[in-house]
Amino acid sequence: MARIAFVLCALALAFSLGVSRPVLAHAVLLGSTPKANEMLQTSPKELILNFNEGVGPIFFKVLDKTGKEVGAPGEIKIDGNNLILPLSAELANGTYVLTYRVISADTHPVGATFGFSVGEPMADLSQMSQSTEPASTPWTWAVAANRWVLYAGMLLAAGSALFTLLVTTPATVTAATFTLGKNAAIISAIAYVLAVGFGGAEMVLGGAAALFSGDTWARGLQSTLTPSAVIGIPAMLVLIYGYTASVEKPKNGALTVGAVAAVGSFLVTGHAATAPPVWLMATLVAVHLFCTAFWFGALYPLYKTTQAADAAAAGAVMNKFSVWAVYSVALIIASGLVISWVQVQSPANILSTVYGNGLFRKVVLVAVILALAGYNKLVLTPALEKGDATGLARIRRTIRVEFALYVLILGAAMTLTLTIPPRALGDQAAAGAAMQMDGFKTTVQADGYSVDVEVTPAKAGENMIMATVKGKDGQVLTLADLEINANLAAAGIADVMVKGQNVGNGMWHAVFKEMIIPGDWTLRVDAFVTDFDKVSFELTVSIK
Amino acid sequence: MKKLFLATVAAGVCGLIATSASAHNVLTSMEGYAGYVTDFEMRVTHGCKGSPVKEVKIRIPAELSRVSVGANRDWKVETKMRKLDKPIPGEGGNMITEVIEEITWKDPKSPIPAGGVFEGFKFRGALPKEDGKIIFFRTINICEQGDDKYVDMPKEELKLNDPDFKKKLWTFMTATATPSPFLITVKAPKPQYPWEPMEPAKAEAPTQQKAAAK
Repeated sequence: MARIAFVLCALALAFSLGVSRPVLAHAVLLGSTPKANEMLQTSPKELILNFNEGVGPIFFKVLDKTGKEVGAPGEIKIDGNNLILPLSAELANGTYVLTYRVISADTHPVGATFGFSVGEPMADLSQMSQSTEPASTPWTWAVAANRWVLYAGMLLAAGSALFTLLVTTPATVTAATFTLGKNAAIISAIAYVLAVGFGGAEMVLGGAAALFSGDTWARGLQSTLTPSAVIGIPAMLVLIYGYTASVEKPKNGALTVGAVAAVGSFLVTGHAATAPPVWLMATLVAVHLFCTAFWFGALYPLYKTTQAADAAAAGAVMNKFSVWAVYSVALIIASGLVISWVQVQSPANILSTVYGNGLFRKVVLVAVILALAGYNKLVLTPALEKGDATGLARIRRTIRVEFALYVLILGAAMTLTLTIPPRALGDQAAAGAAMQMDGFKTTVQADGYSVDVEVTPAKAGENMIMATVKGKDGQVLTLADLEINANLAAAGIADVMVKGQNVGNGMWHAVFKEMIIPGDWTLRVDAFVTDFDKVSFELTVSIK
Repeated sequence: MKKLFLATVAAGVCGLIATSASAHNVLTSMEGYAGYVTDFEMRVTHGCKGSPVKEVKIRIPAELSRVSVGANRDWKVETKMRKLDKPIPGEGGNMITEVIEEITWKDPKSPIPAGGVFEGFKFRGALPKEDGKIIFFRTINICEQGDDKYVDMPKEELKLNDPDFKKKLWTFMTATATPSPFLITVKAPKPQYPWEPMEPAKAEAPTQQKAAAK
């Protein structure tokens, strides 16, 4: 038995390392070119969206004020965390809106719309919708319901296998468990397939008929739902094969492989398993799922045992289960705590965020179930072992309650998977704050190069400067170095030099503590295209 | 007449340098005979705002050919090569496929103190045949804290025969704190010894041919 447990752990670890991919959950837009509400001097050659993680594009387009798509957009290019939309036609002077919808690693579609203008100030776009979350469609509910079925089915299919492997029950009970496990596996296999279709339909914001369109399935197949199904469906088939064996000659190998692969299929998608550090989080999620599956899968056979066996025999089975249950409870709590800590980040977030609230509900339910389990182990099981037959009915009642609680916990867990964790919300808030700060913004040309400079808050005191240099072809350059010189001739302040910090994506950041006197400051931005090749840009910033 | 003019200019330049630019990285000799294989010394005269110098880099100007680096037992010398589009014949019949593009002196026994002393870095190469050319040797000092990049170039091309040359050169040298060190080629009084083995024009670096063709 210990050997099987060891094999399970080793396989789970192998899965978590091999299958999980280094991605964050829930895409958040960190920046864009052009920025929201930016006024450009000339028509852009391409539009860039910068996310906190790699995303899959669903659509990305430029509309004029009448809602017509313009700019003769080419194919969307993916460059790391950037989506690039090349435009082959010039945009005439006017106001435009950029609208996009992408899918993040956790298969959640995210979209937004914002305006920018070319050659003239922005027209009023207040009528334009600015939603950052997609409107929910009937498919959102279909996806959620299917996900619930998949969760319950997978845990039951894998859990029945784990329970059978670890705890010996009377033959009739084992046979009944096999039947339940097989049915759960069949339902799960169907749910895996539907997840791809429903997910695709949600992504394309499709109507009722969307499920019958090839495009819908193509979208779903591009998401992480596909690797999940690619692992999950064979896992279910292996389990079904395992469950068809006779009780006397169980196919332990198939049950083991099937259960491990089933858990593995949940590691390639979702918030928790894809949060950094991936190796740790995926391992924790794997442990969490294994133990939960074992416990969830134990309820039905234990219930059956109380019906099929006498008090003493049932007590022996309960006792054997409770040995494993103690370990699994400890692991569920420990792994759950670490996962929650990473996702929630601060105790304050438990009450102040939707994710925290959902987690709180789940924890309360788990506490109730633990109390019941404790009652079972400490009071009812010893009574059963002594041959107290009245305990059988009582234990059946607690198992029924536990089952109901499990269904609720699964619901709470599923809600969590559909909610943005505070970890990712933090990114979003930071990005939002950076976008809303007021200040001075300009673009300066020199020798065919250009620099976008943003001075925040452009008031006397400490000022932050962000600079992005573009090459002769309009592409953002990766510079060797960047220095900014500030002068205020009127006050005799000269050559205050600050070296820029490369903050990624071609953006450089510098902080001037010396801009304490209001006036027209001259900035010289020295961009080092290579160590030896320097381009200097000069601009004047009015510090108020 | 032209020679006299150049000599005057060169003298003026040296005067300027002696008074103003001695606080930067400079070439020890700021004039060289056109077409001569010449020894250069880049002088580092101070650190970066009071911080000792621990690394020096030079970008070899494209006008220079047949570049080699002097031995230095106090610094680790590294060179970065540039592949030639077309191999050129070297001395002894072998073909040269790449030339030195950058030289770096790093990991010194001890860094150059931030002030009060200077240190020279030796290398050599053939100057272009055209006299009156201004050649810029962009250099970078990396210090224990920060760096100084003497890589600034004149905003417009400087020409020796421009009546305002001196004024413009002065402007270039004082407009920023980090002008590139430079050298002016002057007409050689005679071909460089040994006269006979000097390679015919076609056997020389493409950059020199280009310079001669101007």
